[in-house]
Amino acid sequence: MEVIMVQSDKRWIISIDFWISLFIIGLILLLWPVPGETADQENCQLCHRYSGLAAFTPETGSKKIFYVNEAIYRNTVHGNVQCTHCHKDVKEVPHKPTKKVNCGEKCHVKEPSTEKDFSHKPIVDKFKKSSHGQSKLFQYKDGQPKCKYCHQNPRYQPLRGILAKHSEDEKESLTRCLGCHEKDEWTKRFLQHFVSRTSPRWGNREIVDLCNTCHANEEMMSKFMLDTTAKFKETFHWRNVKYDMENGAHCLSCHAPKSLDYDAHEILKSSDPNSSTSLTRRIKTCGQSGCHTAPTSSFVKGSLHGTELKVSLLNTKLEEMEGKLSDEEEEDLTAKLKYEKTERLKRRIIWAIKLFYKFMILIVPGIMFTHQMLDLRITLKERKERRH
Amino acid sequence: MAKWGRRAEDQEWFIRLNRTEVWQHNIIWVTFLLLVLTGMMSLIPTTWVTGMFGNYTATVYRWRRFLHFFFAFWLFVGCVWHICYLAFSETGRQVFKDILLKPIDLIQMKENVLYMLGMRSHPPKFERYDYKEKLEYLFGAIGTTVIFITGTIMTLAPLFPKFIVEVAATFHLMEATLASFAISIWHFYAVHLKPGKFPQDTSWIDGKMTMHHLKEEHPAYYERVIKEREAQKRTTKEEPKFVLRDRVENMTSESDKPETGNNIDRKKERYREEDDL
Repeated sequence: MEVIMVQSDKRWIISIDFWISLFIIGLILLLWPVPGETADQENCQLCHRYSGLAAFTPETGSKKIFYVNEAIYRNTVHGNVQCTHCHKDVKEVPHKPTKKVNCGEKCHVKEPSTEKDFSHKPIVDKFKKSSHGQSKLFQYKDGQPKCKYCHQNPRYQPLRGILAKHSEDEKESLTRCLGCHEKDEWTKRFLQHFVSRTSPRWGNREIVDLCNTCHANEEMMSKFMLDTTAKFKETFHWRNVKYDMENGAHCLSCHAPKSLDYDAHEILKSSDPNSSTSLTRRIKTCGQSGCHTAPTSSFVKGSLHGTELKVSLLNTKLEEMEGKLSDEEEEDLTAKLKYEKTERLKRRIIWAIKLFYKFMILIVPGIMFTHQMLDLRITLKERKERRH
Repeated sequence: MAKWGRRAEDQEWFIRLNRTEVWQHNIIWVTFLLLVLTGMMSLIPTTWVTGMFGNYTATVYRWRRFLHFFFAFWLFVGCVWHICYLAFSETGRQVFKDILLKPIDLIQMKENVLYMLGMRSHPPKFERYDYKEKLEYLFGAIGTTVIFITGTIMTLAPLFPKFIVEVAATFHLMEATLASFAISIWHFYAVHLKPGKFPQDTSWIDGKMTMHHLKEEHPAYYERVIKEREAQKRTTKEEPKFVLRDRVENMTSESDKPETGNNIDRKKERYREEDDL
């Protein structure tokens, strides 16, 4: 028994040393910046891994969360970009409040076709020339859309589109790639990137909903003298989009048609002659991809998803600016108002037809049903009398 | 079924629709039904269709579009055939004359409504087509014309101003909805659900109607038919063409037999069944 006791004590002493050493080594390993494939080479996760890391500015009432879930971030399209590649003003830890990220800056990822530092600058430059990017148009701070309005650093999804016939395809493709490319992480990311770009990132319905988050908002659109797109969901175009038809026309199909080499970042006002929705270019836009074969000039005229908002906006503007406008400006506004009033009349005619039929659908079958019920009653009565 | 009964008139059949009319009716009702189904599919929430067909949803909608055009073509063929029949054949011209809405129909409509409400002792005597059939035919013709014109505009949309296309689309959808409701209530009751017709008036298959039903539903026309038949008999001493005797012959062999207890029971049972329906 004694021998056993002594042995037992020794074991206990050894294990204390062992656990202390293990704790120190673990702590060093945990805090040591790990070089190599991880996204967090700068050890930003030391602080940003805590879900409670946030800031509240009482003056503006804004709340910001600085928590970053590394597991999620790693699987996003920017997963292999280091934090300081975008947050360039972070030079020390702990750092001071940082500026907003400029997506047009270069990052340290190499663009493989040119071997130069990668940058979204070409896209940002295009965007700045578009209606959405021209800051002079946006007198309201919250009005100008930023990159993040549409792009939210999405996570890579499993195989989609042409390669997604079977769930096994992803694994099989990866195995094939790994035959030559040795690094697992890099190869998987490259395959994911390649596959995700073979089909559009957004579904047609998602595009409409995304645009509608701003453009269907009457209050927001009023600030820019724009009509809302709320009526789009009453059109046949929307019906085709809703039913996942191949040629279902969503917002970008007309405002930035890919088949006519337009880009979603270059959307222009329809009054701009270079816009795909300008009167001169509409015939091509409506006739693209065999949507409307050889449309006539009268077919492409008019508004597709207008509401009554524009008339009231123009009316208000004319009233407010009375006497302050030059003759040309007044003429231009009056012409616009006349055009919008014609469009309003057209919409009202359609509304009246619908109302008439709704009334008929309610009344006619109602009268018919009553008549047939009376007929049923009298027929049963006649048959009963005949039987007796 | 509707064509078997105890009365002498039940054993005589009258040709209500000739073979051409039966085929025209069949083409029109089949294509109408399929057009309603393929058309109304566009009103069903996508999530339902996706739930049913999964990845094949887009294919289903593509086929829906194609089939809608296909059935529209055959409805058009049926209608053109019917118009030619009305215009170029003697019987067709007679049908057209008889089915036109006249002032007497409005009077009869009022009388019949009063009768159904119990404010009149007897129903009006209807001619070959009563106001119910005439109204249905008239509104059917108007509705089909609207649907054809608007459907053609929608198909050839790029050739028309956008506003016209939008108006056409609105008319097309709303008229189709109204027609579907009207047919399912009006016509379905008259030929399927009405006591004595249930489960169906078989004249859509063979074009025949019993003389009893003719007498009951179109008494004025029945009297005219009987008079004409008598006149025809007196002059030609031949069977009139519009009444088929084959069923009568088949049945006379049975009815000529002395009525045994079994026969009487069977007949009683049959009459009871008919009354129950």
